[in-house]
Amino acid sequence: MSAEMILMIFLLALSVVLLYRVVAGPTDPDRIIAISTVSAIVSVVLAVYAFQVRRSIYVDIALAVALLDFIMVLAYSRYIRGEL
Amino acid sequence: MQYIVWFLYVVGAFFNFAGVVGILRMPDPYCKLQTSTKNITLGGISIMLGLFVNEIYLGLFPSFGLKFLLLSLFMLITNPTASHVLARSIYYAGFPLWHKSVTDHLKARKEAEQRG
Repeated sequence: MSAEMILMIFLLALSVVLLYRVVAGPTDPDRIIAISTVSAIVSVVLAVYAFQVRRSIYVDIALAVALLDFIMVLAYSRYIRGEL
Repeated sequence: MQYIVWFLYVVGAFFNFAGVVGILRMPDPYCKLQTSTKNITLGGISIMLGLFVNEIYLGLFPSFGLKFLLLSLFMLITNPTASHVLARSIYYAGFPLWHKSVTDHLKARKEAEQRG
């Protein structure tokens, strides 16, 4: 088992733990912050996986996940101020 | 060279762990935003730097590593922007600070804007 494999399993375990805050967050911004961090961790895991299996498509998927994270946070920010 | 790669991996894993603990334990959304920013900038980017160094160490042309650097540059630009916008808008939307918070520099400006 290589170091990248251990790293991926550790990061995925962290993001699964973080899903508790998504389910049980007291307010909506807590859930948004937790989801944003989950997608950042998932994008890092996809980058490590792309390095591991030597396939370049997963880097593009990681980029798409990071972009969707950014757009989600901006859309929520506009929504909560009543501008959307 | 291998030790540099392992050091970057361990730093990334540690900061991801610390950020997740902060998000689980911090009392209000503003503190959670602060820990989440540390999580992405130090955790993710040091892991990607470790992958870049590892690819050079393996003797390959860093085609993946350059894409990882571009991805981390993108994260480095967008993540503080998103955190700042989110913090400001949830402040203006009226989410309260934690009851033990000591400073609130934005309060006077918000009241001045509300008075017109």
